[in-house]
Amino acid sequence: MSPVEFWTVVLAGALALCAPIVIAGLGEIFLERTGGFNVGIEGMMLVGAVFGVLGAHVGGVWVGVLAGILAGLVLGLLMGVASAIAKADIVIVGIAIGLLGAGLSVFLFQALNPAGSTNQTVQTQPPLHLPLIEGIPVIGPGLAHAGTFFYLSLVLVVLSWLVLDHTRFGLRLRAVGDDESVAKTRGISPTRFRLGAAVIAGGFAGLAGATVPLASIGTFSPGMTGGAGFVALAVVIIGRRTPFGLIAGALLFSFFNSLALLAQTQSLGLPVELFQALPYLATLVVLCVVSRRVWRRGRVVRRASTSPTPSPEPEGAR
Amino acid sequence: MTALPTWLHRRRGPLIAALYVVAGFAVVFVLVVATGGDLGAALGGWFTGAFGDGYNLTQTLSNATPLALVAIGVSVALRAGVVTVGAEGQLIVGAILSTVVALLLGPDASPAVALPLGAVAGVIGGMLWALPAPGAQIRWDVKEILFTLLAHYLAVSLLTYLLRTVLRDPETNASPQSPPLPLPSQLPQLPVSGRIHVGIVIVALILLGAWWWSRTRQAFVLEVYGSRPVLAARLGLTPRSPVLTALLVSAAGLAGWMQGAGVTQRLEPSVSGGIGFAGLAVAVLGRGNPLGIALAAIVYSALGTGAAGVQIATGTTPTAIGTVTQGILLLTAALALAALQLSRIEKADTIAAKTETVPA
Amino acid sequence: MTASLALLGASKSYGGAQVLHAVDLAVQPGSIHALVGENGAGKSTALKILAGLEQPTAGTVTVDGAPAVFSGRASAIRHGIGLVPQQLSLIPELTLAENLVLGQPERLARRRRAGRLLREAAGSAGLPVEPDVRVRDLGLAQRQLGELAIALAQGARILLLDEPTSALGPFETAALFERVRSLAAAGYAVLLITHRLDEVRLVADTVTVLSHGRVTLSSPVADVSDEDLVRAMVGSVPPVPRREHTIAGEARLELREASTGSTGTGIDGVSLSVRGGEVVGVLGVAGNGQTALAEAAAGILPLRSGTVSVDGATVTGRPDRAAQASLAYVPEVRIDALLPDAPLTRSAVLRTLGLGGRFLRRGRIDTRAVRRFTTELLERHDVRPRDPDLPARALSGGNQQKLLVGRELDGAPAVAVLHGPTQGLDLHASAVIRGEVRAAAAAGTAVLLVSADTDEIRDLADRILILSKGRIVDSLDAADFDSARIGRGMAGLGGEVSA
Repeated sequence: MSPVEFWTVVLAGALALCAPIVIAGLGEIFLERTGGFNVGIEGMMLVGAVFGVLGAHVGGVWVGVLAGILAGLVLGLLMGVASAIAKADIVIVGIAIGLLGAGLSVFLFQALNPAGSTNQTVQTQPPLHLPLIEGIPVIGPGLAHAGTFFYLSLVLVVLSWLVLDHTRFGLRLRAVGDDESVAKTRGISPTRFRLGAAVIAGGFAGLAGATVPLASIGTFSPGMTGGAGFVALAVVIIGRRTPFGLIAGALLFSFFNSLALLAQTQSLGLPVELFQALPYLATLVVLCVVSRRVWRRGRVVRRASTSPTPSPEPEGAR
Repeated sequence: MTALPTWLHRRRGPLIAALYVVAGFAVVFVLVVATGGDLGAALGGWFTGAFGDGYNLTQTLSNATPLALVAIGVSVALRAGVVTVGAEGQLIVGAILSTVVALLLGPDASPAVALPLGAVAGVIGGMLWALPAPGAQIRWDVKEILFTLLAHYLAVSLLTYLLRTVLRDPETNASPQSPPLPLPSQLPQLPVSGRIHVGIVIVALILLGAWWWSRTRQAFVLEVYGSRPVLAARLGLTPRSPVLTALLVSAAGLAGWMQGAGVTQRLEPSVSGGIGFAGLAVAVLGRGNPLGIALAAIVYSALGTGAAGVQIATGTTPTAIGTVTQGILLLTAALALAALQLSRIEKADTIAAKTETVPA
Repeated sequence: MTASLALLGASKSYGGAQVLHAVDLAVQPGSIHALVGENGAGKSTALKILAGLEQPTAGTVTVDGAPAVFSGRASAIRHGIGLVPQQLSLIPELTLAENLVLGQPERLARRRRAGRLLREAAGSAGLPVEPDVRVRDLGLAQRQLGELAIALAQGARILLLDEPTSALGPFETAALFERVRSLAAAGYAVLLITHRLDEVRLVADTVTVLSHGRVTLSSPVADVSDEDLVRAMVGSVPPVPRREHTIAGEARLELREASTGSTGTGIDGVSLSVRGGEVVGVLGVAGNGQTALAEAAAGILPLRSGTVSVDGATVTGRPDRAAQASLAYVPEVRIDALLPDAPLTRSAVLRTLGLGGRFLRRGRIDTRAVRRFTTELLERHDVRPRDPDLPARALSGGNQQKLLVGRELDGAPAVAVLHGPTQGLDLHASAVIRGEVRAAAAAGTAVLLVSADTDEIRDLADRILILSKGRIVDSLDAADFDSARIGRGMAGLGGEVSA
């Protein structure tokens, strides 16, 4: 394989693989902006996956997508009620929902496909023909074959950005995560927004999970999301909890993931396990580099000044 | 809420907690019935599967052993307010290291040397793996739980690689696994039906030790650190130390040694099996005290072993009901605990308001 | 004339405690009304009711003479009631314009329109605002003006200002009052909450005094004297004994050129020493480095340069060494030094557990000894309720402080660092605490008292240091107390002195 062909295939793989991470990550951004953290994201995605297949079985791929979203919404609601209203620790609730979701997905799969019956495939995402783009060197084929779900995820990125940055709802959501007590005095209910954010996160996770089997495989297998949910958590932080940053982080991971997949079929000199570890390693390294800047905010200025026009806080750490 | 009679209102916390538990049971029963299972048969099947004949009981206890061990380590961290799910990675590396030591010692070493060395190797392996996550948190503000979740995949890759190359069993060509551990490095089995190794006694002893430790000054200070780090610093616990020490109590590494030396007698790819989350669940269910952990470990493990029994008894309910129930159990426990704590806080605030002469 | 905003016979109870008793209050359009009272007199409760944040348990609120019920802050805003709270209510991460958007009825966030609204509202009142700067990059005075501009942009005709000058220096205070006066002249009704009588004289037309939740005085400002006001506010205060012991010996607490990092409110080259039996008071406007100074002196805050030592032993940034050297510390936020949800038996031993083997028996905690100690501590310092199994959360602020101060000053520590020990306490608890501080000093403890409360310092300190922008700018003997000199120092004028 020539180098150009090689990287073209890798990039194509990256684009095709990143949709679930991006979609799950978007939901997580809403949740993290209110101060939450969804350790159960993987379980929600698995439930979304199994419901996606079930729904597609009944009415085609888009019914499957809808089913996945609904399933995710329910789990998100559960997490929201448990953490925002019942005030249980959100990490422990997340772990519980993760266990529950993973178990439930296998449960449903086993219940509806008892051992011995064949595993029927369902309709997958509608093919997208973009002959114009295909011609672009290196990334062309990748973009052309990335699939409907990839472009769906891009649309969702833009929508999320619009909501977070240009609606009163988005600003209020961010207010809750930034300073809860102040938000309360302004009449913004942290509980309601945390609950809402959890439901949103669940819906996105369910959608993301549904896209995994419905992209091309057409069947469900236990654990098929393979850690994409946890990766989304990391990538959200790498992307500074913004929708556009998220894409960059997701592509980073998918790039290495795609490389690893290729390494399995071609001998690339180094052990295949190293390539498999590389996406996670790369993500970890980037996390170490950027985490500090995401969490540290500029110190709140509580300085009185002696002149009518004081200078702003010199430390502009964002 | 004010319409409730006072005695009910005052016990609101425990009542709500009980309601959560009942709701949890209800969901499980609905799932069983929905898949066509008869509830009575299911319960009977569960009990048989978990505690039925000697073999099943032994299996349940055997599965509970590493859970309890890992949960002890997790609960030390929980005392300091650190939620950790890194047990899986630690277990893997602990198992790897103790396997290497066992293979190096060979079949001619004395068990009195081989076993302790294996145990130490397991603990060291776990400790080494446990180091980077809190280090990254301190140095670069990386959320420890996130680091752990990602690092887990690194451990799995490492294990796969080693089992495929250096530690590969030359005899088999099928699934990758290590050669069987030399006899001196294997934990002796207990003389009961089924397979359970001496490790359970070791874990019981560790539980006792943990109970004794929980009454020491260190345990107290660690707990203070959980809510008031500055006060803990006054008592000698500085910020860097508890995060590190709490996570270095690598019970998970020891459990890794036990899995290899006691259960499978060799290193296998499935050595860890989700114990990171399960260990945390048991620590939470056991409320951090050793007796609670022992009970919770047994119950949690019983949900797993009993599930096969449910499937057999009902014929239609899938074995995954076990995992689902485990998740529901943890969720209801978290909710119940939160309800109890909320009511405690409310009561305390009312008392404070009564003596308050200053508006808040 | 019909009042723009009024309380008629308003009472408020929280649980078993009644906080307001049939309060009458009226704010006329085009005038400035001061609501005055000591900490804990009920001012903030009355404010919360007027702002729509709380409902009175009896009595009514009227707007322009008609009774009004506010379902929340939003409904009060619709009635034209603007609020500039003491704890500023701006989200730091957002800009002023975005903060305005937070409260608007429209769903879409139109920043430019919000910015325009702010500029117009602020401009008509002569306030300079920058709508597109993130709040966390604004200075404190600017944030306050931003709050005011937002209130005006939301259509307020009635302005409630809650202790607006508590963190301002003299320049900004004067500037603020000028703007408030012009707003009143333009027809706005202004309610000013304060506990500073000099401000009342400066800017208010009428005044109401609250004490223990009741109105003790209500009159035009011109018709009352300062003494009338003080008497209405305070009633009688139990006398606090003056120092009788002599200060002798070496310095027990020493800071040498202590400097923290450059971020925000740190300290810079602070040197001071406190001798056994001496009370050194550090006075300054909130936000000038008090917390950094207190924490550094307690050995909690690591320093970028300089040292802190107790009885000769260096404890810089080492809370464990400070505890070993017998340093006691009472922080500003008292619940930070207590365990809110653990039984009092745990909070009570947080200073001494393990020191020299105290409360330990064969490596484990001696629960009976701890319990005995706790009960005795609660008894000795009059903490109520006297139940050692209650969580610290179940104690009111005053009782928490009594427990905390009792625990820290127990056994005459070498050094005691106290930050605002009587802040927010009622007069009785305040007197008790001050007595304990004196007792500790009499027993030989070196006391460093950091505070923003001039009365507290004046009452307790033997020597007074002025802290401004992280530096000690003046030092004087208590006997030479001079308000003008102190005011200048706190405003940052005057030369630097090390004490």
